[in-house]
Amino acid sequence: MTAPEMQQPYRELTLSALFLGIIQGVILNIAFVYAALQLGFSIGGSTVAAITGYALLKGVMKKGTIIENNINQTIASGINTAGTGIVFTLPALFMLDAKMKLEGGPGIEFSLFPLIIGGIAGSILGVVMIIPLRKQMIDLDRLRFPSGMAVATLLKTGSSGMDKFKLLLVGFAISAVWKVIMSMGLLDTPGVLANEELNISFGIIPDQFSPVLYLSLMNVAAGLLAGRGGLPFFIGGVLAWWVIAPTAVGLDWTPAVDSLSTLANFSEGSVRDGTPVFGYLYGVMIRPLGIGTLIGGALMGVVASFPAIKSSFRSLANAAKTAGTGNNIGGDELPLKTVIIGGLSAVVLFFIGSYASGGVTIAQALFSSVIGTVWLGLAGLIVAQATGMTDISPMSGMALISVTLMMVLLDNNVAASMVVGVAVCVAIGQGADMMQDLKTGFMIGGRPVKQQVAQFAVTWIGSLVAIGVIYVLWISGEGGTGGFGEGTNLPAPQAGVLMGIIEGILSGNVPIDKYAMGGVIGMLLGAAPASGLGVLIGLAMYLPFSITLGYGIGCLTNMALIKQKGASFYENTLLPLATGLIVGEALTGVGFTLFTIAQGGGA
Amino acid sequence: MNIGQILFSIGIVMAVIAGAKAPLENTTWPDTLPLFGLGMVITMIGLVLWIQNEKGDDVSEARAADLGLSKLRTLIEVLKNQSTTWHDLGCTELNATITLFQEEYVRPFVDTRQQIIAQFGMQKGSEIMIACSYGERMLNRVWSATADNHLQEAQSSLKEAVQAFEEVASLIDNEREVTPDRKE
Repeated sequence: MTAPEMQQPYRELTLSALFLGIIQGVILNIAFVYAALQLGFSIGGSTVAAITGYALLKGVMKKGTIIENNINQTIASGINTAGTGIVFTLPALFMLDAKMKLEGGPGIEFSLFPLIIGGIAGSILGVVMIIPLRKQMIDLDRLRFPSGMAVATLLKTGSSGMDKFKLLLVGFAISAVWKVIMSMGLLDTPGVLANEELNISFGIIPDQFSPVLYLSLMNVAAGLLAGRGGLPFFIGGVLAWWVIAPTAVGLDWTPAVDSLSTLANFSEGSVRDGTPVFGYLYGVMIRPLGIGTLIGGALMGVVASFPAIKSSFRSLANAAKTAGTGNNIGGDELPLKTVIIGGLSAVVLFFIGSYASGGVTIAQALFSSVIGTVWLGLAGLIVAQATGMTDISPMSGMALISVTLMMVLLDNNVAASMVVGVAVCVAIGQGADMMQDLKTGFMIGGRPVKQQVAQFAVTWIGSLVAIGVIYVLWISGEGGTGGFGEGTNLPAPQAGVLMGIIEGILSGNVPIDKYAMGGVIGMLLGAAPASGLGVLIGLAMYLPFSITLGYGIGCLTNMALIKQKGASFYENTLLPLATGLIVGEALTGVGFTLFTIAQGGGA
Repeated sequence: MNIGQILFSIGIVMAVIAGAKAPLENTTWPDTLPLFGLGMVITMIGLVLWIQNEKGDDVSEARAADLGLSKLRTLIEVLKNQSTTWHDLGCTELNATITLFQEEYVRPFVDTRQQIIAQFGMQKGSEIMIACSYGERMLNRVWSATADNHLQEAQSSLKEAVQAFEEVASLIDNEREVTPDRKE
């Protein structure tokens, strides 16, 4: 072959991919922070970045490659994901400060500098701490990482496999149309369908069975991609809502309610808001027990992973020796020296951020930065494993635990605890995102070291952008404050929950029993000869059953279809179709939200 | 389901039900703590029986691992024999060939990875599977390079894939020399 492109190096880590990824990442970060303040959840940017990257690199520049586009989406999603960690935690500080002042108190003394330092530290730590886990999770455990697989399909079908691409477009169209119908409430019927949740009680099934289905095709598609591997997750939800909940009600463990009606107040909002018995079961009993189970399951997962993690560090050390200088860019991973230096630098930044937040001694700052780093590593493992198995990230639960832990260590210093909370959430978001991207890279033949270098170099940008956006939005409110929170167009629900937890701690009300007992349950589940049982069941107890149910429907559908049509059906039909469903809903949902906010004139 | 799994499940259900109850006012622990403890004991008994049962399945696991090894040997053999002819193919033909090879040989082998690790142990099994993963990733890179019409990169990656699987073969052969009584 003598075509000119044969003589050029195969494009992978290029300036085009770098700059396109940064620009897209910043735009997505701003948009999704805004959307998350309204919706309470964020959306990954990899699919959007992959589609745009293909159009620009291949379509416009006429020289992009699949693995170059992978670098573009790795960078864009890394910058975007940092925003998720920030938006789940930082707004709580602003809101709590305002609330305390409104109640006549002094408020909370804090500045943005330590939070920025904490965010940057988290960005770096999130990337370096996940590197030794790549071999275990992707090469050995072969965790699915459904979003990572979906992005790989996107990257590959852009250049060939037109049949798969058409299926992808079909899935996209179906979920896009469905999302518009749901978002506009065209099918809303009082007592039957509201806020995209379908009441499936049929007037018979009582509240404690959580007879509600979240009508998200994206949710079902994630289950379609996970298949049998995601089944324990569904079983966990069944355990929580078809065993624990009815037993608790039957044994009168819940506060007396006027009637155990079938979602009598459903028309006023989500089932969480509408039924007192559900609120108690979920908020006081099942969710905190699920958090404990999740932690216990992940701890046991760490114990089980020790041989493979040791092997990973040994490989890193050997690569450093054989490369001589230790700068083996052509090798599989970032050199061990870089990982260690990066990690230590981030811990120093962590220390500076803690100490600079005020009211913290040097010893406290040192202690909290060491403990925070260790917790960050464990939390990152939990989230990466959960994401790998189910595509669902328990980041908000990790945020609650991080801030709770730090408030205990730092004498209830809210500002300093929030610095650590921000760092941990950014880190675990980065870790899970990096792992998704490395899964994508595995499937398209990318070099992990190039993805790691790319994300390591630019990940800090996301924290800066997100903190800036939140600050600007806050001061855009009347009197330079209150730009988001309860009563505004941007209610920040996740931060509202965190604010409630902090208020609970300050008043001495923490569910220690649930965390401890759940932890023991999780460890025993994790010790079972069935991979990831503790994490999956803990996760299912933590999430609303309306989500778990839809996901479970997807898993069961996958299993039935593969049994009937064979394994190749998954690769050729199910994967591109489910990918399209995920992408369609994600893009349409964000577009519709921004359109609605723009129509309403913003916060 | 065996007796261990049944006891494990019963114990877990007891424990989560007991653990879910909220403590009474001014207490830290719910009054269902003894029931929780009982559930944990039953769970642990079930866990021990379950693990013992898994070890008792070593014979069938060994057969499954042998099947996995057999698939791996076939994969390596086909790769070594045919890869020399693949260097004469253009991008389109090589892309189709790699796709077929992955479906027929690579994916069926990957499905037996747990059995391979069980047979060789975590340490050696991990080394074998990591080397296989590297070879698989290089084959994926061949696919991407051919899709991008970059034959030079495709051929270079193909060479790396072959080397990776040859390393796998030598890891297995070394292990066999250490434990000669293990049969395929």
